[in-house]
Amino acid sequence: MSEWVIITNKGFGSDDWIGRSVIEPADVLSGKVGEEQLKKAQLKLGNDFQVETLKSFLPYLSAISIDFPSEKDGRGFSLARRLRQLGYLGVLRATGHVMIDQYRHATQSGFNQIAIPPKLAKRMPEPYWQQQIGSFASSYQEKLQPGSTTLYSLKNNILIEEAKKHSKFKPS
Amino acid sequence: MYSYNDFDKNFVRQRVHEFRGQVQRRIDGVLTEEEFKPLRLQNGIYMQLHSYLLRVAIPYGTLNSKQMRRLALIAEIYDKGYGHFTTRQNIQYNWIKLSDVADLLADLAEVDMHAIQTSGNCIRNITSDHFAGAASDEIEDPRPTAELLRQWSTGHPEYAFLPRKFKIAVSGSPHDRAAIAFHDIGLCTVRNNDGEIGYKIYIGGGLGRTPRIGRVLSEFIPKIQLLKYMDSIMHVYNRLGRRDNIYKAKLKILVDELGLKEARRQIYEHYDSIKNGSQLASAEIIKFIFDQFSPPDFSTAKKHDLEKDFIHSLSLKNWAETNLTSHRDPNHVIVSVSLKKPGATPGDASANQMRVLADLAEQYAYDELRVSHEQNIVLPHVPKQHVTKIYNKLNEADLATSNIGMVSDIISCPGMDYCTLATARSIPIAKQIATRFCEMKTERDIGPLKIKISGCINACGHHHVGHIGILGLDRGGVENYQITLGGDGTEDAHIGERTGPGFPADKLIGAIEAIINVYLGGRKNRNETFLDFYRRVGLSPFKLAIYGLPATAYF
Amino acid sequence: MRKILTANYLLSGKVIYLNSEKKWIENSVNADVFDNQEDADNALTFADTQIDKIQSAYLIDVVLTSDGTPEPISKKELIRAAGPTNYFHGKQAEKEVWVHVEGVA
Repeated sequence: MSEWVIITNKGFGSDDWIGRSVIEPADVLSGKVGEEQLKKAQLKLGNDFQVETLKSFLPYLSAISIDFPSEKDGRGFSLARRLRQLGYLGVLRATGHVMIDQYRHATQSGFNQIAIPPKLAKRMPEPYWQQQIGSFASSYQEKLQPGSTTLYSLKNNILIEEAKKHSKFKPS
Repeated sequence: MYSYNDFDKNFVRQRVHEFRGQVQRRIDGVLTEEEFKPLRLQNGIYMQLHSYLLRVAIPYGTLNSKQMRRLALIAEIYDKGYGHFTTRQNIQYNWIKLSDVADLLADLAEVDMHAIQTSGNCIRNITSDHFAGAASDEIEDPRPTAELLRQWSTGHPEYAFLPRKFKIAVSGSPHDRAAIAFHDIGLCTVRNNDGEIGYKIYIGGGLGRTPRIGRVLSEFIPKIQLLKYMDSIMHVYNRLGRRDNIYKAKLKILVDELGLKEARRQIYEHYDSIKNGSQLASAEIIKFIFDQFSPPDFSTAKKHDLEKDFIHSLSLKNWAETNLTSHRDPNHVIVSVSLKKPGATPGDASANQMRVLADLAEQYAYDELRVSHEQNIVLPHVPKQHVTKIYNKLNEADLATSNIGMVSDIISCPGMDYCTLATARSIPIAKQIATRFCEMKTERDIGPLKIKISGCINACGHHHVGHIGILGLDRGGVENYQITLGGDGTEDAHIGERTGPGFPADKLIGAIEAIINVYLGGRKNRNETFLDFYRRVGLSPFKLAIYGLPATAYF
Repeated sequence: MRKILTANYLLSGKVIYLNSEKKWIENSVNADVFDNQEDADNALTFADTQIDKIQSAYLIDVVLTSDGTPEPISKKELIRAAGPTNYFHGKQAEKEVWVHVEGVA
């Protein structure tokens, strides 16, 4: 990932996940990965993954990336929103073919970061991304149902507490 | 009707600004054409046969005189002086330049209009009953619900890159004038046993290549729960809808493949997990939106006997028979203005005609107009005392065609004269049929008969739900037209049955005449409509009439 | 085989064709005709370099008329080259009619 560009609300940045071991859902669901390891890992998800199966592990994960195979495929936005609804409070990264114009969709669906490959970054340089980041995007959805599309909501905290009750791990 | 507040105004202005940026990024090469396409589609811009097409949203088909005048001005400044009203209650312009679009959108924003989400794989214009708020059979005006859904769906971050386009319609009456059974989600306003108003929800209806009648997801959903149910349906569809084949990507196919039971289970499972979550659309917000649709004060209209007017003018009476519908208030009527003058392009209106309609609405009809999905314009609330004046002004503007619901009131897509997807032309066929029956002066005798023409299998002309449907295809490089019979887009939903092999353009009119002659010759009496007759006798008599003679006569 | 290359201008949306000097022109009768795959492919490759000016380009099948000019085979491309048949709009109204479509208003 070292040549990939990470975009946050501060613009282009380097990959702060270097050093995190990459794990797959099977690793998590098997229960073989311990609590400490989960916290330090990055979980890579395909955009067709059944994220509900991760529910009880969410309080222990801090870095999840979701694949965006094409600019037309919006499944990642649904997965991000679902993860937030299920109580995930860690960092969410949209990885792959994400366009500048999807910055708003990504952030309003619950992503904190976008990761794009070098070729895309060359074609979509930082100033264009800054325009998006800087522009204020009002949201009908937030107006109608506050908390339904922001990153965190009060509800998420309650879910986290519930998940910890049913956790596979003993509190350390 | 809904009045934009600062939030709405700000939103459309932002969108214009965003669009300018997108065009610039396309020119700069930051966006490829492949990347730019979904973005321009979400602003209603198609590349069509001759030029770009722009589709402007008319939310649930409702607009006021100021907006109609702006549509007229846009036709003149940016197009060739006319616009086309569509089968989803929108308007589209055929001759737009991409370089003009941002300015055009800014001009629309000034009158609280836009082209947001009128195309692309997102949630499209929420359509509704063109008689909403005026019809006497209504349980509740469906438009506030449509407005609530408009706000919920506009710019929704999760549902902007769906497997396919998504269409929602709302009806406020048990008599479905919005074709809800043929939408991805159809809502019918109903009352439960406690008298509470809620919605019966249908999912997976649609036309196109594989027409389907919507299946009942739920018999009753309370108003306050509506958005959470909608979210659940959309979420499941976005995650599971097929993305490998555009002809299998719609919700109707997903419901087919999962089965209704499993689809319902998944939707309800998601609903259960979010129902107690972040705030439901609060009762205050719902009330605020609903209050915007309070009906005008009808008490100002005087009692008026239209029969007296009819005595003075036979043409007025003639027009009234087809173009007036009774209103829930006894001193008012609903006026339908036909955009189907025989020989003209169905659904087209000139800038001048738009202005006449705007003036009439403002002066006589509480400043409100509607667009029907049958490509006509409606003045929903007209005091009876103004009917004559309105008729006379319509007549001067060539807008007094008296054929609503008659054989020449043809619904037709633009077809191969304009559309890149088309396989045949539809407009010349519509013109030919309308002119022929007008010449023969048999329209009134034939009675209610909906002919719908699509220029390709995508069915934008809604031919599947025409009493007579015509589908234009390409047969060895020659335009060829198949006929379907018995379609019905109302609450008695039916998909038309195909008669058999198609006809070249010059033989089609003969087949249509033969079909109608079967009806005229076989009906019990004038009260038995074409559709009733078809349901009684079936396809065979018609097939015999159009194919029974030696093949050379028809091919 | 006989093909010509067509596209639309990005900003105006106008229908255009490629001529033998690799210029975009509005009159289909002056389009460069390719009678072999290599020339056709080269034309497409050239179009790829023009993406800041044009929307996507593609090849269409043509026949040669009696005066040696190309005419699209498909009815749709014929209408695209001439204009719609319900109004006297488009190319047919801008200059002389170059290609004929039956039923033009």
